[in-house]
Amino acid sequence: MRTSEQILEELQGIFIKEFSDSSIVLNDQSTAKDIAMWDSLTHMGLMDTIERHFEISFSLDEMISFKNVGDLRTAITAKLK
Amino acid sequence: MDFPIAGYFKQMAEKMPNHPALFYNGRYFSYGELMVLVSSIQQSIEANVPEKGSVIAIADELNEFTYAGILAISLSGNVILPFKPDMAPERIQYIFDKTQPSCVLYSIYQAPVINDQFPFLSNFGQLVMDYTIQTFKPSNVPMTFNLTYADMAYILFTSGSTGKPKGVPVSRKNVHDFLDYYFDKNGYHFTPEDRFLQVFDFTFDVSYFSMFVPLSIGSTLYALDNKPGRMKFLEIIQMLQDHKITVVSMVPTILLFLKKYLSKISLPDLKYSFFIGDILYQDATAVWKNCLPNGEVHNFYGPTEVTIKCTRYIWDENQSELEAVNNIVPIGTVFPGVDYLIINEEGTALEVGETGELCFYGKQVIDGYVGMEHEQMFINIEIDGVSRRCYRTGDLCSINSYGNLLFHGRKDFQCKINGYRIEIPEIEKVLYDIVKSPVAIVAKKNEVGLNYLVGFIEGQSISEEQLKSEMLRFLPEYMIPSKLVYLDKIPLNGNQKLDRKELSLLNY
Repeated sequence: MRTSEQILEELQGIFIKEFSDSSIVLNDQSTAKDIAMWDSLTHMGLMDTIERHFEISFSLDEMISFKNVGDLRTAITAKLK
Repeated sequence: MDFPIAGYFKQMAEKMPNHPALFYNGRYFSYGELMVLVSSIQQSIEANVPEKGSVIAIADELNEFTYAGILAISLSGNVILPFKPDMAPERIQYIFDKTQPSCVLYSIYQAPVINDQFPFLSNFGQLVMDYTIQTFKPSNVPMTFNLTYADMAYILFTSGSTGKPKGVPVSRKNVHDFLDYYFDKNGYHFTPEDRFLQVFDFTFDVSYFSMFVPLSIGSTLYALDNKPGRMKFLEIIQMLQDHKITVVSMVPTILLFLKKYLSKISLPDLKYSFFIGDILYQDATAVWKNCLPNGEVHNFYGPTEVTIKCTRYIWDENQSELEAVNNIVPIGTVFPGVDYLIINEEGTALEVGETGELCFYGKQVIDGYVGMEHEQMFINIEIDGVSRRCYRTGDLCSINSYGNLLFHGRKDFQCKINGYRIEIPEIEKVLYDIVKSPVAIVAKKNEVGLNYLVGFIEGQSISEEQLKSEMLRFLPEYMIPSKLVYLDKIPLNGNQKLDRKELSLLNY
């Protein structure tokens, strides 16, 4: 089973690939404001990639509730249990 | 005759001062409260910009000051020129040079940063909007260049094929004719209990529908918090649910983004789901309609030059299935008073059923662009013995056997990204000016049908990251290609023109 740290690491890899930006460093407080290419246009594609990578599925309400990377990591951790 | 676009709001403020007019950022502003703010700003405008019909720029911050400022500009008889504070400075400077605003309005929130962002603002009078005291800062240079646009309501700038944005002045009468369509006519009976959601900023003309219709009839306007870094599409759904919104105008793009999740949404309070700004697909609409047990879906069409919306199609589960062509929902019939023609390359009107360029004349059509530039967008056609000045949309359309207009595509290099109209040559010019080598921009569709732009550049003199940041100095973010591809040689076709077809087949 993945640890919370591993999930963050994998998320960072996804973000770097999705946004073609090797300088991205994620922490739980990271939000769309911190990452130039992360906006409403790219968000759904990012969510889709994350869902496929971890083989999970988010509801719309869950996606609405994500305010930062920490929320995302918590939701992924809960779904992988 | 005067067309008091914001006058209806004033009447509502007198009639129902305690009724909520605006909801923004967790707070309601009643009609009375908003009117106090509007009056204060209006008085300050009138004291400092004595000549009516002056262009007044306003920072589109989408907060209470933006709404109050727009209403105040309108009530003072002046012309609204919105600009987004996150727009490229060069673009704003170009827009200001073209329109020469007498004054620039922004809120107390923007005051600490805006002059550093746009140093050229000191050449204009500036009005800092606050709750009670409005502070006017005179221009640093003598104001000798003010143009007046008597009778104009607003000026918007759209992407231009010559490499520079085009200024579209829309008159008060145009806006009045447009709004009239919704006031207890054409099946619409809005009431003060209706709740409208505004999702667009004021550089997109649909926002004037989303703002002026509810505020003219005493309904409540809900403004989407438009701060950068927020997930707009998800927030729209959240606002629709949380505030039991009854009327919303959106771009169809939202359905493509949320397609996977639409089956989980239910919006029983939504009465009218209006779409405009891009192609509405039949299959996505059928899924969306299931989310609206009590709502109707209306597909609108309207270039900025024909004042916001000028055709309507009411979607119907069975009928629309029959009428959709290539999965595209018809754009319907034109508004009363707006006339249209479908013409061929020679400018001759075509028969019913034939596909050609859609042109408009009559009510809601603008007289011309700022500076009377881009005259090629208009054509004089003799209709019933009278020469009519028609606006050429560049959209290829036909009429189907039910009398509805069908959209078939563009005849030029224009495309829509998230509802924004984009002229590809404008981006190519900016890109070329930076790299000084052959470039091409191609619009493609991703797997869910969304448009995105790919930029092709011959050689590699500058990194992708640098290039994007350089382009952002001149263009808004939505005009920056999602992908930039460096090629040894840009392909040319037999006529030695850019081979866009070959580029569009490349797998990017």
